[in-house]
Amino acid sequence: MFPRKNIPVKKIVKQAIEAGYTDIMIVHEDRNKTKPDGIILCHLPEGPTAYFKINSLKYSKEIKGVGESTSHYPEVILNNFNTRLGLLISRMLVCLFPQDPNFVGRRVVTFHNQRDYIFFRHHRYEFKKEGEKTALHELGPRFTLRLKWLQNGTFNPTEGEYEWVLKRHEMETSRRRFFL
Amino acid sequence: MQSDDIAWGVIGKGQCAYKAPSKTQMFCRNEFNLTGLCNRASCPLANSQYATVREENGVCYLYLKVIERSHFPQRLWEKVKLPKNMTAAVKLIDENLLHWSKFVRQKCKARLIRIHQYLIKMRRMQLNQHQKIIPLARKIERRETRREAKALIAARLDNAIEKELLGRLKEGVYGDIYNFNQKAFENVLDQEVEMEEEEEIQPPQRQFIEDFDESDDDGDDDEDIEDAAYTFDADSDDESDEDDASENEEDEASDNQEEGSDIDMEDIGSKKKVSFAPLPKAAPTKVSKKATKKRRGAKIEIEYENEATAPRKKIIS
Repeated sequence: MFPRKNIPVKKIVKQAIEAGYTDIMIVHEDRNKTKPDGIILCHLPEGPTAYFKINSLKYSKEIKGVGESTSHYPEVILNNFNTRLGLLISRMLVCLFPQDPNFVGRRVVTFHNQRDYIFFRHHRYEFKKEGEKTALHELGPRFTLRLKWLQNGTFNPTEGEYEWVLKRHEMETSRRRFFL
Repeated sequence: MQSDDIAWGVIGKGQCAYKAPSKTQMFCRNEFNLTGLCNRASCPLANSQYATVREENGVCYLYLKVIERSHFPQRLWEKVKLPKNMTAAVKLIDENLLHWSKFVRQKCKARLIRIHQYLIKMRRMQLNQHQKIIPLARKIERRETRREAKALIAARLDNAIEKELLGRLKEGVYGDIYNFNQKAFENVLDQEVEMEEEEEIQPPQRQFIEDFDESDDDGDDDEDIEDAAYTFDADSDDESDEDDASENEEDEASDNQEEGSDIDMEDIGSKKKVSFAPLPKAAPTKVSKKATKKRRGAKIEIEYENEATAPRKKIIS
């Protein structure tokens, strides 16, 4: 995790590709620097770039009865990503976590898509009653993401090729039509 | 006939549409004004011979107004393109304003310099990639938060997560990490307990074993019930432990057995002397039956021979 210090994003992307990173996540704060309000998720090298807007962020301290998280690798749950675009996004999100089939520590990270809003939750789970009930204990922050645009290449908002852009006026024609 | 003084008298002191007053000063909003202030020398309407420097899309022009063209409003201002090089531009200004008033010449050059400076700054700023401020429409923000809340309710996250986890468990993603078959679990536990029993039975097996008749065993059961009234702590503990077949108490039972057996081994004679009528003969034989009884059903019973019990019955009655 590094502070950005006003280095242009394209430079950051270039350096990261050379350093061998798989993904870049840039968190954007609002003007008063109080809360993060946007995430630029760039899959390297040459991967798609997505920009999410963050709504309703709640830190761990603000959640009641929160637990402490451990350093085990979490399991990832991706719910309700049905469309082609949704699958793209879900795969991008999964790439952020280490993929290890040996589950240690009952830690779960959930990305749930509902009506184009992606809800993020972080829990510790326990099986009760011989595998018929699960108990969830909330750890960590919770927030919702909304995809603003998706680009095919790396970060290039002026010249890059956009795969999908949220254009409110054109797209919000029907209340039941969702894209993710 | 043009008269600048009269014009100024009317405009400057009276009404002028281009006047923009502030707390300290009077400004002139006329686009051809050289300094921007409302002065006698700066007013483009009150000076028949006037010049300005203006910038359009990064290119600077020199505008000239002469009295000869005052009757042709369309052609009033002469536009001269200035070169991008500042020194060349200054030279050009000097050429065009050769015999004009010092004031106009000076101010034109100053204005040119200022224009060049801000153009440089603009170009530099564009390189630095400043953040673009996008306005948020309040109505749309409100609509989005409302929709998000509805989506959250529709999502029922906890249920979805639980379902997903249980689904993974059933599919066997976790393998054998979580053991849920209670019977199997208990079986494993039983096995462990039986292992413990066998281990702890061993010390009592140090007792000497003698042959005995089966009838004695049957009769001894009845005698045990009567004995319970008279038995000491060690004996009663043994009996109570015998009755309880639970796993948890078997440890205690085995411990008590050990104690009881040890005590009996050592102080058989003394005990009996205290609680019952003296039974010296019975001492050696009584110990033997413990081991055999244990083998049957993991129970411990202290048995006494018929001879010993007879006098006891008399005491009871």
